[in-house]
Amino acid sequence: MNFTIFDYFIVTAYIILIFYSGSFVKKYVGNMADFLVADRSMGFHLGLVSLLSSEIGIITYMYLSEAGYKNGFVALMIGIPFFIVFIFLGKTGFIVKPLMDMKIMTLPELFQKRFGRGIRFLSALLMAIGGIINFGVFPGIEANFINTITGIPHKYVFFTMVVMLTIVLIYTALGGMVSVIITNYIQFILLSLGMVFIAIAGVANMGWGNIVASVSKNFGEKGFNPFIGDFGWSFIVWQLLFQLSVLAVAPFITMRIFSAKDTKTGRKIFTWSSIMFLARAVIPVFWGILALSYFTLNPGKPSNPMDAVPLMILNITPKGILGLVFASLLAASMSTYASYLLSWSSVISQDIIGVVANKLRGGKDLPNKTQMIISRMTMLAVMIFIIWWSFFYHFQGLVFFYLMLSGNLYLAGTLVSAIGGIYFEKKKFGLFRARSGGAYLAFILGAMVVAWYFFPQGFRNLFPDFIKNLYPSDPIKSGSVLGYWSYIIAAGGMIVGSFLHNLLQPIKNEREI
Amino acid sequence: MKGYTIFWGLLLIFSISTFTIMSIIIIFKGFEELKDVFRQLKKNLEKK
Repeated sequence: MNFTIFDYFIVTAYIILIFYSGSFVKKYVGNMADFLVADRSMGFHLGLVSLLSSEIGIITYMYLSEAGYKNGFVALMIGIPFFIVFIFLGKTGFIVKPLMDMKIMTLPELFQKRFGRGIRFLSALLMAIGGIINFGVFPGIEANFINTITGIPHKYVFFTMVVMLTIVLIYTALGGMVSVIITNYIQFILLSLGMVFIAIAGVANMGWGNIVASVSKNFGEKGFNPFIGDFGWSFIVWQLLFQLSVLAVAPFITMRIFSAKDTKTGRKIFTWSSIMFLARAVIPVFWGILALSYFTLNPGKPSNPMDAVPLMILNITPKGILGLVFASLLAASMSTYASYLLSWSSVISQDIIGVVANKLRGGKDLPNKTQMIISRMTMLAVMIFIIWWSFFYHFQGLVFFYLMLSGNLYLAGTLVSAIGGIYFEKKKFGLFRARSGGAYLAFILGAMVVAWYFFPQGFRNLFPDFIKNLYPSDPIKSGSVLGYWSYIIAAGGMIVGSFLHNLLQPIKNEREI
Repeated sequence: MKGYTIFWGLLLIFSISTFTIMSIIIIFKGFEELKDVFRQLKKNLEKK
């Protein structure tokens, strides 16, 4: 084991503090609005803390540092689209302002208002599938990280993850968003400290000159000049589109913004997030560059690139401080689990089970208490699934592409339908007015493009040639092409579907919509 | 290549320093807002 008694003490104290503060707030949660959006009481600073805590986890460190380790300084480009999209959304209020003005709790609610109950159900179903298989790889990857830093034997890693997830599940299920806000706050103090400490300790250990020389030795000019590698203009354009959909319509982001006390606060959170999310990408990518430099200057380069950063952290952190750094990493991870558990379970309980129950009860919603019980049971089910999926699924390509494309299963259709439902729902658009026919096609076609990536090769072979020829021959190596096309096809589906719907079934009066 | 190295160095300095400063500000001011959230939720409970 790599820990001293002092390290164990710090980690244990942190876990007790989080568990206590997360579960004592249960008494403050009176109804579903308290549970899901903390009664929309979050101010600007707390909103920013909560958004950052939920979007920084060990998984974030792993896939971003992998990019830095394998590409050098050019991978720092990853932070730039975040910066641009956050400023754009905060300043213009594009998509997010109308959503906040409507005071909805989940995005599928908008789809019900604009396109009917069927689209709410379909969007939630795709969100749940895409979101949970995305979330489902977190425990396995993070277990490896924890294993390397702590020295816990591999055979106990599964057990470690179950314990950690159970703690998160208990406090999130009891206090909902209120627990998430308070634990996010404590976790942010630790994670921000850890992020800055590792970056500064790395530079102090290796020296800036050696870091630059290591990137030059490993990659030459390709490690510095983004226009001759994989991080040039095409990457920027694709990432701008992808980040626009993640930041404007992904439930784990929108839930934070819907919890803000008013629209102005929500937009301010977006604008200032630009700087913080730039750093959220740049600092972990830099850790990867530090790890590359460390193993260029020192022996013991790991065969698995995913082990490079945890090994570097282990080697540059003094023993007594390791516990604090590990608590900061654990904090980052637990806050992400809490937020994701809450957002995915709310989509399932509110927009899938809730919609079906409403239909069966003749338009009457379930009582508040029943909704909360269902939400808590759903969290448990999601947790069991992600633990199983994490140890069952084997990656065929880069983690980065898996995470992006599983999100794309619902993001392309969601972005296109949200734009249609908000900006193209007026009569003046005539035959191109956004209708449910368009939304159905946008969701189904957008998902079909990227679903190909996740099919096993044997299953892909069962399709006739004319379908196989529509897709790249090696989907695992063509993730960005599939991702890019999912947006184009979803937009095409919305236009064609709405056109046909308007043509075959025109709206006679406004109340029909 | 020197120009790119300077650019990446400046981006790193900018990111790490603004992240540190902003983190300190939001941690302190966030604490006050955290108290407001509980005040609001407590008031809601009393109303019920």
